[in-house]
Amino acid sequence: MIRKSPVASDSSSQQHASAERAGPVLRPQVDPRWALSSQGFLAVALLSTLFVLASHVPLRSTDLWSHVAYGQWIMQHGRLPAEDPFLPQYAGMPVVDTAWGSQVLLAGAYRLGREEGLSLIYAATLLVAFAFFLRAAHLLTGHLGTGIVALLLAVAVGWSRLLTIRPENFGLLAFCTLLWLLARNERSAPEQAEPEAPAYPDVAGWMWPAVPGLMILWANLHGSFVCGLVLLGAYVLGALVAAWREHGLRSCLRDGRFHRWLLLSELALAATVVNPYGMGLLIHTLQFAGHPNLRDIIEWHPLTLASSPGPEFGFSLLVLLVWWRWSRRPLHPGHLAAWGVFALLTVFTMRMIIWYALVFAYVSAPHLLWLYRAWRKPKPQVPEAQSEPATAGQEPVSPWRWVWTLAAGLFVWSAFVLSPASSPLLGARKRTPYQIYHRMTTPYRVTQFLHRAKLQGLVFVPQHWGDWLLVHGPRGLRPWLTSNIHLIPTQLWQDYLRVWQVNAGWERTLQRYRIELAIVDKNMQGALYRAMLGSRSWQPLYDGPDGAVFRWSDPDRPRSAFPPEKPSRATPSTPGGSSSQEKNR
Amino acid sequence: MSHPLLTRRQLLGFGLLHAGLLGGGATWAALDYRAERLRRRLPPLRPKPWAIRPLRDEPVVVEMDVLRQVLNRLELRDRGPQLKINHVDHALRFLGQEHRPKQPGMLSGRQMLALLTDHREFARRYGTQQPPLLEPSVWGVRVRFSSRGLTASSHRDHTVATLAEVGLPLDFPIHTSQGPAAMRDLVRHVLLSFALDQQEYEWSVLVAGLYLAPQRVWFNRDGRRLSFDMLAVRIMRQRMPQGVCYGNHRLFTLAALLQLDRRHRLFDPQVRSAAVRYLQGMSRRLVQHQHPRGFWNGRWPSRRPESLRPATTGTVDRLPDRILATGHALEWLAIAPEEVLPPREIVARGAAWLIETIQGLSDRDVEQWYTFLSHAGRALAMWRGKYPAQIPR
Repeated sequence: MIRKSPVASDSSSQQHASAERAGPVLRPQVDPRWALSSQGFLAVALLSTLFVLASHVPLRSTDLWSHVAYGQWIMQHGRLPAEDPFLPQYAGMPVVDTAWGSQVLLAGAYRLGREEGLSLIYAATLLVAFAFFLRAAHLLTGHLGTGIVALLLAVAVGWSRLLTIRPENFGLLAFCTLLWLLARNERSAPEQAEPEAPAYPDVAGWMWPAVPGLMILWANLHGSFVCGLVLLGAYVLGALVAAWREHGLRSCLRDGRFHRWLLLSELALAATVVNPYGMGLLIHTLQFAGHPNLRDIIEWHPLTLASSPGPEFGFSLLVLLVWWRWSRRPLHPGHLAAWGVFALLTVFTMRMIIWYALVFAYVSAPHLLWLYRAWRKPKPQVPEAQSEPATAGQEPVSPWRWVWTLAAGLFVWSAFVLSPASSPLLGARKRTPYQIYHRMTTPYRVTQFLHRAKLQGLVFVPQHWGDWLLVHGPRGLRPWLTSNIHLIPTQLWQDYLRVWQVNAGWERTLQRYRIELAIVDKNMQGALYRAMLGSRSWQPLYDGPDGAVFRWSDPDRPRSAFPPEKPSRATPSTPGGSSSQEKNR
Repeated sequence: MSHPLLTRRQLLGFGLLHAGLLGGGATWAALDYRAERLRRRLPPLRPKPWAIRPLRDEPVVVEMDVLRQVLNRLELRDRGPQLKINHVDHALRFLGQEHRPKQPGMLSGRQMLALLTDHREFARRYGTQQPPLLEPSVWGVRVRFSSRGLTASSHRDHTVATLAEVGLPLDFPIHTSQGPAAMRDLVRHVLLSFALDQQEYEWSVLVAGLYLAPQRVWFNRDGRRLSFDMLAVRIMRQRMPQGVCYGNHRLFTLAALLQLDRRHRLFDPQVRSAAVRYLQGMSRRLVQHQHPRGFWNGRWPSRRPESLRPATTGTVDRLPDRILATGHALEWLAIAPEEVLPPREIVARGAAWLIETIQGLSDRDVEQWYTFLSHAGRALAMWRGKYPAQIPR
């Protein structure tokens, strides 16, 4: 930025005189707001690191691919599907596409940049979400370092839901944006003058368009918009409790703040109806958790300490106990209500851990800062605004802060260089499929075999491979089911579990669907793999490290004398050769 | 800092605003929910089920005198508490609800109907310790079925299909273990609990056809839209001879749907063509794999019986297996459209073998293989253009 300098240079008097004759001198000067503190540098470094890590998270063979396929279908047809457009065995099952907006974004990213496009949109979404969260915690506490700690806490508790690329990531972004709005609202409230004992914040004027606007976007991106409504509901409850404390039980309902929070939440609720399904989306989303098929999906089970997010949840409780015991900062009733509700939801359904993690870290941040300040008491109190960047007109910025800025710039550049997003610009070598796809969960070699053998028809697949094969399998191959669990007819789902668990009659079950081709995940379906090997009706066609392919044959006929194909050791290319494996079914 | 409280007037205004907002929202949600429920409600059912008609009267297949003799052999003996519900089911379908036995000790149509539709009759015969045949369910009334035991229906929805085929109207009173109900409740349960991929679907589909046509679509408990096109594709999906009775019930149901389709246009044109082609294919297999003496066995879709002498073990080529395969084949052919039929001599040869075999059976064999024989007897009558109940004896 170029500014006029009112001060003449300190050169010789001759030069000085000539300069005065020539008029004021223009000197290059960077806006002091760019001068970062050490905490600012840490924040940039943390976000850059998270971006690099996210951009290297491999693509899994999960629901990502059916979301991409749905997005492609929507873009191609210009409307939302009423029934599943890919699998005839789902015919008649109604589709309420709660993630249509995300699907279009994913399909767009895939169209523009293929797999790297998906990686980039995922990393960018997480980056922006984390940035919003960090800023929210910063605004809430007025202390950037605490914001960084809060972000680290949120990632530590909710990491298990962050490693998969799915529409939920966009919901995460919306949730962090809502937290930012709420924090900004608390920050702008007049009570900020008493940071140690803040009163309950009122609803600022700009919140009225901002929150409903966000909810409209969210409702069209992912079904997790209900989490936003829950969070706002917690703030309403908090406002009621605050009014109760302030005015007593009889008058609390006459408190204007409570009414404004309630009205804002109702507007947010009304905003979620602005979507292609209208009120139907809300009804469907609220009923979704009761779907009978979800009882068999682990992530929908109640939380246990032994399960994946259990220890993280336990860790969060420990942190909570610490600040609950020692922090003297008054409890914010809205925060407490939000923590309670999300903790309860997570106990009932462990997939809620990511929303809980964000709320937990957000709620904990002010108390952690209080504890930190209590611990550092001998040191003089740092004014709240000090961590805010200096503005023009204030005293000159310490040169060291420019060093932090330069270091942060270096970090940002390094993050860009280290992420695959820089490849087209810098001409780096393209990633191999095994770097792009999740090695342990992607049936890559199986897919190559399917293309070579040009296999077609209905095929038994592990549910977690169905989505992948929908997009990457050979044309004409129809996976039996995908991970769109709620679209799977209940009977079909029960039959799938019977086969998976090799229960009595599993072969007859496959015959009932006329499934004569089977792909088995050897790691997760060992019993089924052994059962097929031992069956007279199933002949192995391919047996690789990731999976095996079997074909049904009449048990009365002699089995083929040829051994099953083994995978080659050559470095794999894209399944099916070039990008022609893309299918628009 | 204390926030000012609203005045009573402001509070009233706010209350009214909220009442309006919440009331409006709740009404919208309720209307939306109701509209969806209405959309998924069962379409109007036929008060009286359609009848599947035998399409041709062919004396060359069976002469009337011979047919009478055969039918008279196939009455159901009342064996008290040893009587199988499965046999009652088949006998009612075969002989009809107006049947009056010619011989003493045999069951009448009314007795059979009462046993299947009135729990008090059921309890009187089998005692109260047996689990009831008719049980209330979430969607109506269900019939207990099991492949074992005397007191349960042998196949899913077989009993309801039997009641539909003998023409029970929706308001026909039934009596469950919990109290009175109506035939409508049985039909509702069949339609709402129906899953397209369920193991036994042949009779459920038949019930749907008989009570739903000309409606082409309904929604089940999952909210899944089901159409007769989907049902036809489902029937044709599996390989032969998979399905109950070597797959013959699938063919009977498909032929019945085609007959209903001729009257009510249930299928899309391409599904109709596929169904006809499918039955033609099955008919060709019958021609290819018929034994020179006229019978088929459990391998009818793929090979001809090798020996005239029936096997004594196994489940595909014993005498009852041949009666089953041959009787069922002639039964579905009797209601199938003309373009799928094999040459008449194939049918006549099969009928001749059945007549000869039935006449040579002992009473014990008849009792033991009653269900298979009921199909055979029914098939023979249908090739004379009538149901057994319509043939004077």
